[in-house]
Amino acid sequence: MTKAKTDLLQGTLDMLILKAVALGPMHGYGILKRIERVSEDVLRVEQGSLYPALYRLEVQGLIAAESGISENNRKARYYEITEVGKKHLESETKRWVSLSEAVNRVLGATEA
Amino acid sequence: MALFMPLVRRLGGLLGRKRVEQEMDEEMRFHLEMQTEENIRSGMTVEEARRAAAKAFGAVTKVKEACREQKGLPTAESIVQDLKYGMRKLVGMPLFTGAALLTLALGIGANTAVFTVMDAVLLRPLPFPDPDRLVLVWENDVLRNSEMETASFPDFLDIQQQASSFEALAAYERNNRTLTGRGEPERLAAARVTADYFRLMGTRPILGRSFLPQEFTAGQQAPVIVGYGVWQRKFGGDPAAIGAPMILDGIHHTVVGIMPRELSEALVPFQTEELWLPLVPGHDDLIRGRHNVRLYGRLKPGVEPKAARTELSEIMKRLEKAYPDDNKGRGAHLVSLDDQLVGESRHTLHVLQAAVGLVLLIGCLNLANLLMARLSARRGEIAVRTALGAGRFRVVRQLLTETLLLSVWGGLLGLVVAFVVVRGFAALGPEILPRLAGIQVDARVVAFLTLVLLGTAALFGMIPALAVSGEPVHEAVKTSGRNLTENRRNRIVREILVAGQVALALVLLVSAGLLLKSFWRLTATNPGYEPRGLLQVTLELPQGRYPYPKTWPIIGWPAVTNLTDRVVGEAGRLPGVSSASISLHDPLTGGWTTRVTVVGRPAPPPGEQDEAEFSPVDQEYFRTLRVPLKKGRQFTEMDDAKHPLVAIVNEAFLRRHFPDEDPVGRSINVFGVPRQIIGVSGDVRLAGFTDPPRPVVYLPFRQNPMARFSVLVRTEGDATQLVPAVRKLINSIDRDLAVYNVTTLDQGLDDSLAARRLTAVVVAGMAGIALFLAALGIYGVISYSVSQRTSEIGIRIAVGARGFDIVRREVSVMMMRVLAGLLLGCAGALVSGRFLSSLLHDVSPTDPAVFSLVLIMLVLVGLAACFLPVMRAIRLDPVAALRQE
Repeated sequence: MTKAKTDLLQGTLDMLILKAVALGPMHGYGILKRIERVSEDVLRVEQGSLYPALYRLEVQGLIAAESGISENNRKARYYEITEVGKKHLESETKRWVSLSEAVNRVLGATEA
Repeated sequence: MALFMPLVRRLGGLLGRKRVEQEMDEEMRFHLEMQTEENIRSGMTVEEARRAAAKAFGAVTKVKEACREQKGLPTAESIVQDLKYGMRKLVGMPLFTGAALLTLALGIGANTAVFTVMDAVLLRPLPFPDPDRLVLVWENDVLRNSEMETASFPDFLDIQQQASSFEALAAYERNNRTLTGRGEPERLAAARVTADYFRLMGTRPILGRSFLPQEFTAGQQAPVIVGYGVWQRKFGGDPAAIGAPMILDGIHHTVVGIMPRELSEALVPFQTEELWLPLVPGHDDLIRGRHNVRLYGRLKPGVEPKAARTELSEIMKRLEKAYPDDNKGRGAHLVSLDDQLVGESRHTLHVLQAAVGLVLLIGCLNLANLLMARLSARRGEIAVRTALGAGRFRVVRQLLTETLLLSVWGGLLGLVVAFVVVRGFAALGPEILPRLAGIQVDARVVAFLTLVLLGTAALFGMIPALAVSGEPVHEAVKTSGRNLTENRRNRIVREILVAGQVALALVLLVSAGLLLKSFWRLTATNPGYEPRGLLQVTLELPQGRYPYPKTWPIIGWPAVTNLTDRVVGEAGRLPGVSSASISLHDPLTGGWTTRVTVVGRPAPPPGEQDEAEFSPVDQEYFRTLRVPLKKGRQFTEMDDAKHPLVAIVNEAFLRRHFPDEDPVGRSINVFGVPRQIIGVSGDVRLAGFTDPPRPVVYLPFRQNPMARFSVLVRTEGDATQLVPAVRKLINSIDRDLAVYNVTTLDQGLDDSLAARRLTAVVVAGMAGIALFLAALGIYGVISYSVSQRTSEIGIRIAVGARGFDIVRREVSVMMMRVLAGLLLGCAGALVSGRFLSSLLHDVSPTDPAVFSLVLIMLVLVGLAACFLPVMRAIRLDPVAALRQE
């Protein structure tokens, strides 16, 4: 039971990170801010789970990391989406959309 | 590929560990700084901003650990950790570690050694091209129930002409020669071979040539091909040996070729010849009733041995019809050269392997048992580690790491043991195990060892690890603090392990008992003579200087009897010698047989004549060997060519031909001439003792002299001391006589039992180890269980339980397990007995004496192993026992 819940959350976080990175190469802190800004502060990413998630995605080959220079001229690790990552994001997005539509239909249903 | 990438990255993570750590540090510092800056921008003080950032991020070390886990770092780190921890643990328990290492080193070492031997003897192909197509063709005699007889040369010619299964077929007659003129005269194992022999074996001379076709027809040439060993010994490996002269049996020969080492060495002890002569068929060779040649064949590619066998028996049936006098009841069959060579040792090796395998298995069970005991003691530690967040898998892995560590060390020690044991095997000599000349521990053997090692670790490591890992954590924590009772489940597993050990030990002990009893029966066999203090040497007179008389049968041959008279006379005068004698055969191996009929009885139908061993001996023979004379008189010097022909028969002959008559005074036909029976001697058993005594007819040597004979010398002292004197004596009489086959008879009898002794001793040794391990297992379980319950026993004694009751309770519980093991073991021993039966002589595989002795022994050992720890426990002062907790 607990396991299924974690999977869902983890999967969702991975999807959000992938999307954020797909918008352009970014460092960890920036990814965090990006998700918060775009979701208008609704989604707050646990900072402690962000980095493990990034490392996981990197190991899975969905994102790639390289060092770059940040906007305030500091050395930082920049993450970038890979081709595999793009495909993965696409299919995940489809799945999410169909899932949320289904949920919406159920929630919006009126008695016939 | 996509599947592998994560793995590759993970491994990459392992390698660049330092770099990744550094990057991780930098990344997180960067994050905190960015957050701090933003916090400052939103109006916090520097100090507040930093604290808020850190708070939002959470514990850096924890995040890092989580990241490492994703990167694949923890695995590597924790393996090293596990190893270090395991080493520390093992070093901390020298007694356990020592016992475990010893068990593993012996178990793995013995298995590896036996595998090495099996590999060399059974698995490696013979060093000839397509060795699986090489076969031997033996004749058999249905009437005399005799297998594996050499064929006659005319039969060979017929088979060669008619059979279509063979690419080539060759006749091979062992026919030794004495080499003179090159140092000490030496008797060399030689053979006469037909044209196809070398081609058939697939060997080419390393120097010179094979025989030419014209060398197989009667002529003046006398070519000889020598083996590698003779070439090295007699010619110093000089290539100039080609064309060199060689005097064999006084006849001049010329060396034409040198054969490679394999041809002489690969087939020892089945074939030891190192000298080959062309088989030019003479008058004797064309007698169909004379079976003197071994047939070697190479099957055509794709021909099944079964088809060849069918064809052979059809040919033999035709020959039987065509020549009923000589071939009645004679068939032929086929044995692969490999099977012929390996023979009985295949079975011996399988028995040895089974024995060492069982010991290793018992060792594993014992180690599993010890580990279980240790795990019970470590449950507290494991519970704490689990509570601190170690996953169950991690705990099991830690335990397996420890067992693997043990196995690897045990395996390395085992390799040392294997080296030593293999040396021992190699020293045994080819009579016991063939093909051990080039034996060594090589890559295949190491691969086998690794396999055994991993299997061992898995077996003895998995049982306890699984047993412990299934246990709920809270249970472990709860009981670890107060060791009132050993975990029930563990105890049950341990008891099953003990029962298994007892069962396996019983199988081994019964097997050892059967083999020892069989061996003891054989050594206790009365050979029919006194072998101690008896030396024998064999002489063969070179034909060139001792030409055969023209008459047949040979009744008188002064050249030979003059020589034997001198040899026996002078040998009898050597210091310490009480008598000396001449005999055609040595009593160890016996010899040729011939047809014998009783005068005055109707002649048996052709092909069904009875045969008996014939043995020309001199008048001193029975006295020198101390063979008792049961009836009549001995031979005397007067029984020579000028006097009536006489014979002495043995009791086996008597039982066969004169079951209820007195044979003395009756006559028998030997070699077509009648001889009067003058006496009956006791039976002499041939070496090995497995065959019943054969009917023998003894003839006076003077009435039937032979060019080859054994000299037997009796001394009251040590017969081996006589060897130099006897050699010197014979050399002084005729310096061109080769003395060979020199052995004392008790040594010869001993050697003939060597293979059986080896099997019995090894299996007994293994059984001893098994018994010890099983006792250790029982002792371990009981003593642990008692020590865990010292306080309980203390309480019970304090409230008035009698020591006797406590002992009875503890011991009876354990003995029930032992008995279960014994029952199981008996079933196993019945199966293993059937496997052994062909190695047993005069002992039934279900011998009740052996079974009951082993059962009693195991029960006693079990009781002793139970009693010791229990007795110690009840002798404790109850107060002290209670305080111990």
